[in-house]
Amino acid sequence: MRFYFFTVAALFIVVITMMFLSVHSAQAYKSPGKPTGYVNDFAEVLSSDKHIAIEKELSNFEKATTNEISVVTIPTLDESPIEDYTNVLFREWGIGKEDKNNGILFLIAVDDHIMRIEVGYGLEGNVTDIATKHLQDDIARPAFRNGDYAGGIIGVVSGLVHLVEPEYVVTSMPSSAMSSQTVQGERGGIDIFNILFIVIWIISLGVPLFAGIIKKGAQSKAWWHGGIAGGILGIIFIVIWSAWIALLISIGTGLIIDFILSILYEKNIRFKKWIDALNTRRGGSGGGMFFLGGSGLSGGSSRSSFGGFGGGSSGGGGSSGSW
Amino acid sequence: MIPKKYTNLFIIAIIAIIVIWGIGAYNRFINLNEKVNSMWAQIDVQLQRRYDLIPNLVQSVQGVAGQEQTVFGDLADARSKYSGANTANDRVTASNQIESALSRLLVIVENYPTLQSSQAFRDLMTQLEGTENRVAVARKDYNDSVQVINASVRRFPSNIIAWMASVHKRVYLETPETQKTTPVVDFSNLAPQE
Repeated sequence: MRFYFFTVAALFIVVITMMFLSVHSAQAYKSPGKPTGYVNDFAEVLSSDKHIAIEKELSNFEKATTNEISVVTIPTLDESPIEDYTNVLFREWGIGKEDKNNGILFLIAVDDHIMRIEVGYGLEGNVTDIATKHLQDDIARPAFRNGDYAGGIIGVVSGLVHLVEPEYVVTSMPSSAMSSQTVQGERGGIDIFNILFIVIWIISLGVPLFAGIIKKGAQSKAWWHGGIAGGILGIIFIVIWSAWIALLISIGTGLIIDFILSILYEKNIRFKKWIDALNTRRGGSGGGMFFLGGSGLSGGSSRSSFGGFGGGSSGGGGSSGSW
Repeated sequence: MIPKKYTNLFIIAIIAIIVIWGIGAYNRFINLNEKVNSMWAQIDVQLQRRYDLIPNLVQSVQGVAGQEQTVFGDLADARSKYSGANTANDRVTASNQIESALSRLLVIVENYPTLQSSQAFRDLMTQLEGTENRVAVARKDYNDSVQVINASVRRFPSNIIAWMASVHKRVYLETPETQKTTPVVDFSNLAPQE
């Protein structure tokens, strides 16, 4: 029995190592991170109220027309060619809806003084390369030369919005003439309600379930119950953090822990008594709470965190500019 | 380990797992192969786009730099070769020729500042750069899809399934370095190790 334990453990180590090896590929591209909204000001050149205003405008635009326009500022490209970087980032975040590919990415490398507008497959007809070049040369360039990043971005975004939907009326962004029209917007990101709901959900589902499995796992000689417990933990990891690797680690850990618990149960009388006494009849109430927690979770997340883009792609259309 | 009466069940289960995996692998290969084909077709789409831009480019440059006849001749030559190319290899050769003629044309254009100051010409250059970028992206996508399928085709045990599905190793697209005067970088030079 101990022999099988070691082979399974060794197998998991091998599988995990292989997974890491196959996923790892030498890329010069370094991702700036996950998107926190339509506007991602990694170079921190936008004041808070401008950021919120542009974010609100792009968010409303997406709700009204499904087109996803994103603005990203980064400090530097680090020698990476801007066309390469922008295309990879566009696809990494999946800007635009998957079926329509209606995304646009406006990337500004602030210290390098280079920018690019990349257009998704679906919008190439309306937003031509020439049009994006003019936006950069005529609107962004003079503004950026003066250090007015907000003004330049707002001008370009307005231009893009009108290219995509000529009838659309810009409401949240201040026009270049006026400046501080503070708009109450919704900032993206996880907030306390989100975390609370996730915790409630895990507790309501997990505790009775785990108590039952731990009891069964310790009592029985077979140690696959631990695998199930680990599997559930892994699924939770996936749902929250999309970590498939964690599933394997969790199953492996679960198996190992169950094995240890089984031995403890056999050898230690006090442990045996404690396990047998665990009350596992609260499974039903746990199930009921699960639904409540689950609906609370979905309510919480739709309220405040940025759900990400729609999975669209770009074929390299658009143009680059500098200032 | 396993009670005798379960041995048969155990063996059947193992066989079932292998068969299910085999079917999955077979279908995956079909999909991967089709993906490579469609990426290849996408390159053609973008090359065609560039092909269509060239007459405008030539016309606008000819007005100013009419005496540079060799380059225009080479470009026209390469272009007709491209439209006459039937096999994939011919098209690759022809498109490389177009690229080399185009880059020579762009070097010449540097000597004529009147061109640079013309908005119409600059717009044409924007279109050309956009097209070149699309070609480069399409080539990269193609090479990426070839990398994915080749990795599985050669690995054991999936290479058995690949042989059964008549899916073979695909060929990478090697592209020559092209010099451009305007800042468009050719990132299609991915020559992965075999």
